[in-house]
Amino acid sequence: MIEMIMVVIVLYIAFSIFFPGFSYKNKWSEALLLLNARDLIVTSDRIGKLYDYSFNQGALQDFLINSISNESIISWSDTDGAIKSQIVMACNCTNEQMVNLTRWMSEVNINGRRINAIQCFTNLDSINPCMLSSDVLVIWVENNKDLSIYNKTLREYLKGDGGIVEVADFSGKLDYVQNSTFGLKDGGAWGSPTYDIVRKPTTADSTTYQAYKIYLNGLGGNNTITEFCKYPQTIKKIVPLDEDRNRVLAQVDSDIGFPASCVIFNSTRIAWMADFTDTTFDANHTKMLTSIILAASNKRPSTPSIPSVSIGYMTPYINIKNADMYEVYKFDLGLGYPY
Amino acid sequence: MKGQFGMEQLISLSIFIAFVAYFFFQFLSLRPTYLNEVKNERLRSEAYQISELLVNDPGYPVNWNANPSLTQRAGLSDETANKTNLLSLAKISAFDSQCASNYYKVKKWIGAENDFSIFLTDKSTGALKIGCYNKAIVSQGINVTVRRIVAFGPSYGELILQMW
Repeated sequence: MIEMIMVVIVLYIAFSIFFPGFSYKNKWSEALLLLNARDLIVTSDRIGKLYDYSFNQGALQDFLINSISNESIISWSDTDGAIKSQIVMACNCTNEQMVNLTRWMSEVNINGRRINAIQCFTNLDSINPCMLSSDVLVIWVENNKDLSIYNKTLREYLKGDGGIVEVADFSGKLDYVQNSTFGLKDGGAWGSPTYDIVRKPTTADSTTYQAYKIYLNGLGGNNTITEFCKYPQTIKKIVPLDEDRNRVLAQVDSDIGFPASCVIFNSTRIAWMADFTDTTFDANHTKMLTSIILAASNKRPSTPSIPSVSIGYMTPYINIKNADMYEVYKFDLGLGYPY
Repeated sequence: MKGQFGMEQLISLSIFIAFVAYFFFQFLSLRPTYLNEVKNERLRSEAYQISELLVNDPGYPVNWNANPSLTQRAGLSDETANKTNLLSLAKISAFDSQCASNYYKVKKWIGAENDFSIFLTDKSTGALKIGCYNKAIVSQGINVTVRRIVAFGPSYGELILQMW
């Protein structure tokens, strides 16, 4: 009897392994999710609202609520490669410089959308994360400050997605950070510049291209700027370390040897600008600084904003806007089921 | 002794027969479920294909709405713009009126093997742009629904295709 009971148990287990319960799984709901996301993005593009929805969460949510019949679907979105609608700036500067920066960046509109800048003070021993993380670090150096001791901190900062903009004049020897991080060197003797010119980048992949677009097309700056590189008269003439003209966004109109540079990019996220507040400045100077800050700022998605979902898919879409300036970015729309 | 069964043999035989019968009927019960799933897969595939045809194909001839009697394939895509998910208001109107007069003609135009209903609602105004279904047939239970978001002119809407 015991043997029979054991045989029954063994048979039951064996059969349940070899003949499991029938279940037919398909990916139809996932396919519909992907189809839905693609339709939503393409349709919003067709009705000319995608740019608005990309940067206006309220408008996007209204559109999604009106369009998606299935109430259990949750959504999220991000942009990649575009100037953020809210830029967080960590500034190593004085109170007066901070007030000026806040004023200059208070009414920035690009391609019909408002760019809000939030500033916070930071020292250079440890960069202030401001809220979650800053998008750009502005170092407004006075009195020939030696940045060599902050080299490690600045390198660490650049490992993130934020950029660094330095506003400075140099009366003494350029330190290691100015050479290696910002790519600057002493340019030798000065000539007699009368005004400064904005250099047009030769290719779209130039490090100065985006700042050039923002300055000229986005903010409406002029091609020529009142001279500010040689003020005060005692400062050193600055040129790119490798004398590569493609890294220069603004330079003097005439000079001895390699023309003195007023704005130099060492990469798309690292820039130096001569301190224009040493002389009389106008809107072109402040627009130039604003465009450099915007160009160098972090353009990656702010935070991983993907909510907790059981099944979810991100659908990417490359969008283009060409109102004030040509802007190309990636818009991601995520749709998912919470359970 | 010949021809005699012991009690244990009888019990063993019963258990064996019970097991065989159980799994035999289990297998038989799977068959309709499986066939039903296969049918649903075919329906889903057809519904998706028709939705793609309506949303992203201009039809043949491309301006079929101008002369519906020559229509071989009906699509709603705006052939002048030639963009995905952008429908022609004239084709939407022609499709709706043709379906209202002859459901089977439209069924042939879109190449549907199964019965269907197609509704297009303007999400901005709530107006029904297309209400295409066979008024003579009572739905046998909707098996598949495909919802597409589409643009037409400056507005947008939801195209709901159901098949059974």
